[in-house]
Amino acid sequence: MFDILERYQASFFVKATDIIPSPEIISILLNMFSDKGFLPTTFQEIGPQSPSPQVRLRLNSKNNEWGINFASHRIDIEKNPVVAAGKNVGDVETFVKETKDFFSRILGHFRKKGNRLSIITSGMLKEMTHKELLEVYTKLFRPLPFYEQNMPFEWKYRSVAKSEKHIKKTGPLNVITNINRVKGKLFDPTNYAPEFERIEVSFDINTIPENEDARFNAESFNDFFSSALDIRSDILNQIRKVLYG
Amino acid sequence: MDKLFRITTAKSGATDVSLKTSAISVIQKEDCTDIETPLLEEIVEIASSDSSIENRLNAQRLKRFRTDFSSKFLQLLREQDFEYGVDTPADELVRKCFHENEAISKEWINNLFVENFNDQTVLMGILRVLSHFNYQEVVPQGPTIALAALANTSAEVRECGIRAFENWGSLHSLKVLENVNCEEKWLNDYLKQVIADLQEELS
Repeated sequence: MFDILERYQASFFVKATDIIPSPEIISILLNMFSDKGFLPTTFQEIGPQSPSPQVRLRLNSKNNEWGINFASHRIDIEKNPVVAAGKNVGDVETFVKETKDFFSRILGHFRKKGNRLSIITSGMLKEMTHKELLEVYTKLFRPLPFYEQNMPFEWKYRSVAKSEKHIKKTGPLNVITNINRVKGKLFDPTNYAPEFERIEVSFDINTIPENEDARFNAESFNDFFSSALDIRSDILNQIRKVLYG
Repeated sequence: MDKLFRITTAKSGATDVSLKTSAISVIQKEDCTDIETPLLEEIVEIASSDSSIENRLNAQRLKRFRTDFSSKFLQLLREQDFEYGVDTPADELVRKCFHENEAISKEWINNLFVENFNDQTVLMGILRVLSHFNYQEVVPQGPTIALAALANTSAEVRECGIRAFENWGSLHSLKVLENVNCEEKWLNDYLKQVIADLQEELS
């Protein structure tokens, strides 16, 4: 369904204030991922849980395809596009498999339990004509009279709901779907930058933040990913049906 | 690397800031787990749970450092003869950057190191420049970079990594070096000598 893959990210919410860019921790992580050839780097973290800037550790593959961010209260594993149309990002099932392996290594050593799991995916659909793009808007929205007369060239369709249906060991899930009409430029290695106008679809599926018990470990991703990918697949089918009939 | 840039034709930054502080964005932050959209620059999303204005400002500062200083710095590293203990124009440039924004400077250099991991000349140059600073001035990125250097396939780069730890001469440096193994005899001999010197110095 996706023509351009933008990125995948899986997160484990956990107190990770001890995983810092110190020589001891870096040595442990470099050994842990020696087969992957990851390199240590840093990033600045400023957020609700660290209002003053903190330097945090990040592991990067040499081409920036993979990144593991160790923030103070979450560990994010991301896969980014490094070749045309994000072909290297691959299918989400492979990402999930690799991510489970990475989290097993990290949590196997640091022996931590977390309170929240999440997966984020985003990509763009194949190009559409101007007319088709306008039709997508009318299929998704009941616009105000002004926008009926002046059809929008940028819009966002965001829905957030809790899914009780997929409760297994993870509890209810927040399911966020964004469908946006976006306009942009694609920069490739040849520096040719064609403009595009496309429909972008992204998902953020996560366990609810209200339950703060540190109840998840690396194995919890099995149930979580299984449920999250089921939901994602269902919604993608529904989008396909609405957009393409 | 491919990059996607969204063209925000109909947005003004001021609106984004006000949205960030609205009650709606706070509610959304709890449900949403996304922090950032790395490929989509120049866009502000209330959906991005905790990508604070400060984080975006930092990203912009880093971007400016890359634009203003990267090519100049890389050119200096590639063209200059380095001598330990002697400041070069590359050192001066980095000191100027540190004076402007130390935190961003260190992150910028760390990124340059990773991006040029196959360019031995650049890696050795960065290590030499950083080794001229005090340990406390370059921590934590300095030792992070030197540790990454110890994983490089080039023995010369690894030597520069060891030499950086030697110059910093901290207890941390000693602990790191005591856990390093070198296959090359000449490098292993040098490593043992550095460890012995540091042990004596720090005892």
